[in-house]
Amino acid sequence: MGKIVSASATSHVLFSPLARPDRAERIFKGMQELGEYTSAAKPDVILMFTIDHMFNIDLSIQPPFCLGVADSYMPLGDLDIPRREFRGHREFAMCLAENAPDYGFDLAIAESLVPDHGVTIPLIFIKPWGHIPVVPLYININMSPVPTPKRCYELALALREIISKHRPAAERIAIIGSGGLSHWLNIPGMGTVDEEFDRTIIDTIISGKGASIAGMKVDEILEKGGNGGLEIMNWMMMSAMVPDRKGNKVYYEPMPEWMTGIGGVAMSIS
Amino acid sequence: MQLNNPNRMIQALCRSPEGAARLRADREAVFSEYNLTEAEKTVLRSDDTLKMVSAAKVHPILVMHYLLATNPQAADSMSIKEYHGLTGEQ
Repeated sequence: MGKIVSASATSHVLFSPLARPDRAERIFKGMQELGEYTSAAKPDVILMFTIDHMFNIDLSIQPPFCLGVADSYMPLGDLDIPRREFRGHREFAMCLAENAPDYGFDLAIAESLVPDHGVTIPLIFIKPWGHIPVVPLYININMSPVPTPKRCYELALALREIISKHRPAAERIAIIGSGGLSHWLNIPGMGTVDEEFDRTIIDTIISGKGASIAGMKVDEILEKGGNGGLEIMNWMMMSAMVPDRKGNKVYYEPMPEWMTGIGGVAMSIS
Repeated sequence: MQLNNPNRMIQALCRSPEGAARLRADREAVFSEYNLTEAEKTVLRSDDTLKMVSAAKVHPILVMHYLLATNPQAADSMSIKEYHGLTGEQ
């Protein structure tokens, strides 16, 4: 039985602080705190629910769920994030992929990925760089039809079961949900932030009720949180890995200057 | 969303520095190479990202790729370089 030793979620952009230095500083400190939270749990592997910004998974082939199974990854380097290799965890990833069909999920697997900021922004705050292997699970919110919240939730439950039944007892696993909060990318509404939606999602997750997000419809999330707001499914999946656990809001800022609501949470595990 | 010619062009060129440089150097030739319609060309020559999605049917994420490839100012603002000292980067 593998042990989930930390579970957190964070937005995954960091732009120029000049527009709002005060808020940017709080965001940076929040991301730092989340990185320290993950490091302190001393995980053997990080399972990250994230999205690919169509640098790897584009319109040519559109799997709803794609698991990185490679031994290592070289970041894309977008947002001027340094290109330094970090480790994957093939054995862990393949264990998830091989057992998922028993739970009704046939995951696409990827041997070659260049992770973008959806993976690397959370990782740059986990020091030192690359010392914990990472298994990215891409939730493809960029395709149509979008994987439903219900389906994503069920996948997270399946992965939790697999970790519980098939991973070694001493294995320590960190969960990270990457993305969100409300943002409208190149569609009407662009530049706005729905602070009420963002705070509702944060409160729902940290009160241990993240499963309720599985009952939302894709159109409802699109309307309230924008196309980028669909990334909250990664937060919901994170919370499904630690059901009923409560947590803390680490940071939140409405940041229209960056065209997004931006925040992070850490769940209480022990 | 359909893999139409604008999306095909962006996917092919905007993810590599070489492709982006080629698009910046001779945008009209690239547009023709990918058989864009006049309407698609007009939208992609503009700064109207919403129309790129609504009229030219470019995927919203690929609009971002196109902007980053063709607009150095946009690329400059979407960067963590001002935090490099704080994150321990050089």
